[in-house]
Amino acid sequence: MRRSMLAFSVLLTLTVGLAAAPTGAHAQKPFKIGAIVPVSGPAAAFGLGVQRGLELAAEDVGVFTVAGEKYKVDVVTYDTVYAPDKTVAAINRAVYNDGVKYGVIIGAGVHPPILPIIRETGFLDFAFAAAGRQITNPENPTAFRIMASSDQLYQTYTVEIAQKLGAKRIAFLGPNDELGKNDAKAIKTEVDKMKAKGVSFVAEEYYERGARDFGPALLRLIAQKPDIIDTDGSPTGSIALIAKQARELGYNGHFVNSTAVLEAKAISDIAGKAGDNIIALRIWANPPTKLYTELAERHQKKWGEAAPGTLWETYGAARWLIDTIVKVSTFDTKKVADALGNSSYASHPFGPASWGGEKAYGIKRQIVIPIPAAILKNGKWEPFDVRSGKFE
Amino acid sequence: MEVYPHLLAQGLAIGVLTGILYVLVALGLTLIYGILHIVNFAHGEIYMLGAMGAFYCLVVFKLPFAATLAVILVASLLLGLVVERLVFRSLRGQWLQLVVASVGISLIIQSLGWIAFGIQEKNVPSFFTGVVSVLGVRLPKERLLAAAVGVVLVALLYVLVYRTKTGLAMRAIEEDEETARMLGVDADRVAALACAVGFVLAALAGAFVAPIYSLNPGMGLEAILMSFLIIIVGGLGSITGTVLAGLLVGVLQSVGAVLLGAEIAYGLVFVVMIVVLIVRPAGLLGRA
Repeated sequence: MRRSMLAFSVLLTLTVGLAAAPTGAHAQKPFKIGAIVPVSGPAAAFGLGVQRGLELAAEDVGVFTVAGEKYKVDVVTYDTVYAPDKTVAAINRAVYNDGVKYGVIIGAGVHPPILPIIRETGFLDFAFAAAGRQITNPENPTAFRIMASSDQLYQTYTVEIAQKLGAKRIAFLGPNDELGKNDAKAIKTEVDKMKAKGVSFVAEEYYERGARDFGPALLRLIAQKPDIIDTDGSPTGSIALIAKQARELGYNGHFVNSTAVLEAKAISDIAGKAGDNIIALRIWANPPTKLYTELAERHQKKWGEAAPGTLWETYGAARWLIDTIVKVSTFDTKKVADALGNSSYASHPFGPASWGGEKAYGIKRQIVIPIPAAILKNGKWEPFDVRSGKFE
Repeated sequence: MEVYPHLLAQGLAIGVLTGILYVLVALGLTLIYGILHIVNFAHGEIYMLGAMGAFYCLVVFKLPFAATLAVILVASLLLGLVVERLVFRSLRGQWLQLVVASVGISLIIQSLGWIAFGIQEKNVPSFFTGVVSVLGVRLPKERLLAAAVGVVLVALLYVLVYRTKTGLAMRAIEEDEETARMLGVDADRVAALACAVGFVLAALAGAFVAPIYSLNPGMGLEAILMSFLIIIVGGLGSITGTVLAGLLVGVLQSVGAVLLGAEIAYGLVFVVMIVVLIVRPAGLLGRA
C-alpha cells in the first residue's frame, strides 16, 4: 500500500512538473501558414505537394525571432477540394477563426470569389495559379504568384519551340475553364508573331476536367494536320491519355504542355511509346540545384513516393517569406508584402528568384525564376532548354 | 470546318466503342436498381476497386490475367454479399435511407482509397496495343477487347435475367416482392445474389477498363455520373434500354464533337437526354 502511494506521488509530481516546465514547444509562439489547397479529390496531388513543401520549410526554418519573440512555423491545412465554394469557406475559417494571415492557395478558378476577402483582410496569398490577370494586379498587393504564369510561359517558349521544331501548324487542346480559355488567347498572341514565317494557329478544342476520353476532341484537331498540339496545363493523367489516344488516331507530331508539372514514369506507364515527344515546361530533366535534389530525396524518404510538382516552389516561397519577415521584423502583411516584392532570393530550389511582371500586370508580384523545358524520350525527361523566365 | 466522310466514320466508330464502355460500367447499376430498387451510389467505387484490383494483381503481384479476374470476381462477389446482408437488407423498401447508406459507403470507400492507393495515378499496361484499320477507320485493339467483353457481359446478364429460374425469381421480386415470397421465392437469397452480381459487373468493368484509362481513387465519380445518366435515359432497370442509351451517349458525344466541336457536343448530350425524358419520362425502354 505504502509502495503504491509512493509510486502514485512520484508520477503525480512528474506529471505536474512536466506540464509546468517551459518546454521547447511552449517557449515559442506558433506562426501559422495556411495550406488552402485540395488534399482530397482528383487535384489532391497538387495540394499535398504544397502541404509537404511547407512542412519541409518549417523543419528547416526551425525557430526564428521577430521583434524579440521566438516563433515556429505551424502549417495549418484547409481542404478546398479545388472547389470555389469550399475555398471561400476555408479562407474564412483560416482568417476569421484561426487568425491565419499567410498561406498558399491553389487554383486560378477558385481565386475570384476569395479575392475580396484577401483585399479586405490583407491576407498574404501565395497563389499557385497559372492563369488570371485578376489575381496579379495592383488591386491585390498582397497576392504573389509563386509559379510561372501561363502568359510568362507562352511568352518565353512558344516561338522558341516552334522554331526549334520547324513547326508550321499549331493546335490547342485545353481544359474547359478559365485556365484553358486564357491560355488559348496567350498562345494565339504568340503564334500571331510568327505569321510572317508561315506559322499559323489551326484549331482549338476544350475538354471537361476529369475527362478520360479525348478521342472526339482530338479528331477535329488532327483533321487540321497540326505539327504541335499544345495541351495547356493538362495534368499527368490527362496528357498521357491525350497522347495515347492521339497516336491511336494517327497523330505523329509533338505535344507541348505548359503549366502542369508532369510525371515521366506515369506518362510512360499509361501511354508507353505514345508519350514520346511530349515537351513539358517547368520540368527539370537535370536537377538545377543541390537543394532541389535534397528536397526530392527527403520527400521520398519521408512520404515514400516521388515529390509532387508543387513541392519546390512552395518550399522556396515559404523560406523567402520567413527571411523577409525576420528582416522587416513584423507580421504586418502589407509591410511584409512591400518588402517581399522588392526583394530577391538566391536560395530558391530552382535558382535565383525575384519578382517581375510590372509591365504585364502593373505590379511586381509575379515570380521570376529559371524556366526549364524537357522532352520525354523512352519514358525519361531529356533537357530541351532552360530560359531565364524574364517577363515583361 | 469541312467534315470529311472518313472523319465522320471515325467519329462514329469511336462513339460506338466508347458507348459500349459506358454500357459495361452501367450494367451492374441497372441490375441492382431493377431488382432491389436501390440507387447504389457506391457503384462507382466498386468499379474503382475493380480497376485498382487489376493494377495490384497484374502489376504489383504479377498474377496472370485469368487469376486476376478470378480474384476480382470472388472479392467483389463477397463484398456484394456482405454489403447486401449488413446494409441493404435491413433498409429494404426505405428509399431515402438506402440512398444515404449507399452514399456513405461510397464516401468511405473513396476516402480509404486515397489513403490506401495514394495520390499518384496508376496504370495497367495494355495487353493489346496497336490499332486495327478498317477502310481507313482506326480502331484501338484494347477498346475492341473491352467492347467484346461488354457485349459478352450484356449477353450473360440477359440470359441470367430472362432465361434462368433465378432470373425469373429476380423479375418476380421486381414486380411484387410480397407475392413472390408467398409463391415460395426466397427473396433474401435472390436479392443477395442480384446485389453480388451487380458488384461483380462493376468490378469487372473496372478491371477491363483499367488498361484503357489511368486510375485513381476518384475515378468512380465520373463513372457513376455517366452511368446514372445512361440508366435513367435507358429506363431504370432495363438492360436493353441501358445498352441503347449507352450507345446513344457515346455516338452523340463523338459525332457531335466532329460536327460541332467537343465543347458543344458535351452540352448536346444533356440537351438530347432532357428531350428524351420529356418525351418519354420513363426512359427509352422503361415502364411508366
